[in-house]
Amino acid sequence: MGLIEGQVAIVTGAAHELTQGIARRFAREGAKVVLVDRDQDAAQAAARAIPGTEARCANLSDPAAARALADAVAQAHGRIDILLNGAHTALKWDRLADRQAAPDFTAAFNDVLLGALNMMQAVHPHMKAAGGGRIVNLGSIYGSTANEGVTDAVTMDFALTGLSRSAGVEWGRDGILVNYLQAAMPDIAVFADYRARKGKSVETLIANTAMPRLADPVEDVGGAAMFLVSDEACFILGHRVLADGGQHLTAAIFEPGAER
Amino acid sequence: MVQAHGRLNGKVAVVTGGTKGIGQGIVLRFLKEGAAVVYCSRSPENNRDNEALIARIPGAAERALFVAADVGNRQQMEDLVNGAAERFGRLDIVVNNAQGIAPIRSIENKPDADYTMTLMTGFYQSLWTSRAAAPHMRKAGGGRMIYFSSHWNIWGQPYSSDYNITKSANEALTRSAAREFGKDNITVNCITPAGDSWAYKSWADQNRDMAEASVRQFPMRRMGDCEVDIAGAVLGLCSDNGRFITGQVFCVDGGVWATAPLQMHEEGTDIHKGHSQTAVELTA
Repeated sequence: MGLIEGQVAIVTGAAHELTQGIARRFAREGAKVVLVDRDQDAAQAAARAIPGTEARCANLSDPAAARALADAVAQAHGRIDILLNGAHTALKWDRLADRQAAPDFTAAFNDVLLGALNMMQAVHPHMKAAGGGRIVNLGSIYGSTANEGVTDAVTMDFALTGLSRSAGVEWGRDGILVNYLQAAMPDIAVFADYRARKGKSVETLIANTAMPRLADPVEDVGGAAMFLVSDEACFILGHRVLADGGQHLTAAIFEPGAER
Repeated sequence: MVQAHGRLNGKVAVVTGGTKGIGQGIVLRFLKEGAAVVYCSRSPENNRDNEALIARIPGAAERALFVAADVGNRQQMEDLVNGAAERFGRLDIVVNNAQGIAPIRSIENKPDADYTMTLMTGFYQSLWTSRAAAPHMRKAGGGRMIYFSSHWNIWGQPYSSDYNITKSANEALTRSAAREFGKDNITVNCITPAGDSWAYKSWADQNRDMAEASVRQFPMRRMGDCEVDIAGAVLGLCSDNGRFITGQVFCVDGGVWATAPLQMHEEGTDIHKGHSQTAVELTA
């Protein structure tokens, strides 16, 4: 029997390969997984590829859409045990000083922060009524470090940190545990593309990481997510978990300047 | 009630201070998940509770081994680790739960001997067992090391400076060991528990009003259960789910780390009052 057998999990940002890896792990451990993305085709393609999942399309930056989604899932499946907010910021590699105007955080703010907040509030009444639940906000290692040229990602990851801590402290009494998961160097297509262009810096970083390899989305990042949603992390809230093989202890050596 | 999923089937674990409180919770939880568990306390008399509890877990008796050992003694810690690997043929997990605690005293009144004892039974214990365990874990293709820190350390709890310093040392060792052992597929993490441990119960019995006020500051409004809550997190980090999590300190505490704590002790508070065990027997 799986660790979350019979539970219902909502996984947002389902167009992302890393998020799909976590969804695959949840499904493997016995959960019914509802994959959500603004991009209907992407959500449906992911649901076809991952057994035990279904797709729903919603723009979660709209609170009413988030509420409608949560209500529909609760109606269809009778419960919501787990929410994984899996949308994350696409790196644009823009340096602040190169801009004449303030950087445009709109996309990152809407997709990552507002989407997560809206979904958290949308599932809260369902989880509270059921006596509890688990919420994981997926970010990146930029929620623990910083780098040049990724201001929007760093800002959103730190905002997600604050949101997760605050909600964790507020909702602990309802048995709803909110935590945040930060991944680094996942073995996905986007990172493979970056590695192909910036091989030397990536190899150096891997060699300097405690566990010198890329993160497998299902086994490594999915495993850390399972820790947070299973009976294991049942007394942990508002907390950071890094699924990074210790990379947060290593200085960042990417060379983003060359990305322009 | 905990549900077993065979998460540690075939694994061999060492747990220091496994006869009561948090350590006992970890020993029982690991046994239920299928591990062979070698655990220690200073005196065989302390093991009576465990013998009865372990007998109730199907198939666990032949996988459990009690060893009388002092966590402040290097030779005994090395023998504990090597003996576990010899007895069960491999070693996968070491949990450094035990910690000696000296009387609550201000920095001005605390003798040097308190710092020595606390470091030996805490930091040195972690160091000695990790050194001894690393070759066995390499041979097994990887492993898990778990050290213990404390909220007292995070908040600079007055009158416990020896204890806090030891816990800081454990956190520092967590990061260094994670980076040194990571290439061998060994993860190293640290736990900051808020459990309904023997030490906590002892204090709470004497300070009921303060204990109730303290628990009200927990977002989850309760202390952790040793086997369900604290051992649950240790289990997760030691199971396959924790395979890429390393070099981190986890507050397994119902979220109290994020809120302002109450001062719990006054100078001279005797947290051992009413109990016959000596300080070194205490678990964090």
